[in-house]
Amino acid sequence: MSDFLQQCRREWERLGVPDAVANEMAADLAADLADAQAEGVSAEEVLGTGVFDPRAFAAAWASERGVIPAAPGPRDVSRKPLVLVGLATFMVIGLLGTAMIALRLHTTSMAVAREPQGLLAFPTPPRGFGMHGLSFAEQALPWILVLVVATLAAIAAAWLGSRRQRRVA
Amino acid sequence: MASETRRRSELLRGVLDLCLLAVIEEGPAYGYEMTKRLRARGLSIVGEGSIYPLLGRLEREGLVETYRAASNGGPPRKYYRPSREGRQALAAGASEWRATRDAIDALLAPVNVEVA
Repeated sequence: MSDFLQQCRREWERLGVPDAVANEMAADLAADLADAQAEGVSAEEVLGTGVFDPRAFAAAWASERGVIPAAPGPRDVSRKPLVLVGLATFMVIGLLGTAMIALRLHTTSMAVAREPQGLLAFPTPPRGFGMHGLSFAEQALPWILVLVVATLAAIAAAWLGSRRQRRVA
Repeated sequence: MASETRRRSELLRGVLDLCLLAVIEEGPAYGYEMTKRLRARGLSIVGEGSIYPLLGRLEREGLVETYRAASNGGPPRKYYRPSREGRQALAAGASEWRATRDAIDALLAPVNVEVA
């Protein structure tokens, strides 16, 4: 029967029942079962059908006593899809931005490659870039890094969020 | 025979909370003591759900009061007794039970079916 008690304890722990309450319930149950055993009474006479399913028994007892921490309220639940939509939007913007910069970098390098390579020929920097002596690639690199890191962070946050949601469900 | 047991079980399930309130109205009791009192009256909970979740609900609803006291040579036990609200619920439930029982008695009393 100690196995029955151990399974109850594990279930209470899993459900987040406070230790003091779990200890109290376990002690009462152990004492009752010991009394029954001493009097030659079966555990089923004490626990009813609960004897066949310790986890369900433990969960029902804790639930009826009202000692299981409350699940997230409807307000928290309704916010989750909004957060995920926000993260997904950020991911899409990040990926598009990275792709556009990479594309422009590629076309610029192609254009530079096609320029005449004479003594007086200098590569024409694209408008808005190439200031202060920096090439387009040098100016774009930090932006690409920021967008890639932000996109990866958004993907990681969305993945963690969906895992947590599955665990709660 | 199996259907008789099932019917008895279903009937008891519907009024087990009243039965528990009734046995602790006789005097405070801890969990196992209640099952003994029920059994002494021919009400076994074998085949029933356990009384512990039910006691938990009665406690949560404020229908019972609890306290800890030493039992006979054993560890301190959690004793239950009906609260004021519990006594009111017991009185109302007993009245409801009697009314239901009388109505069913009136329906079933004249039944005299002979099955060949």
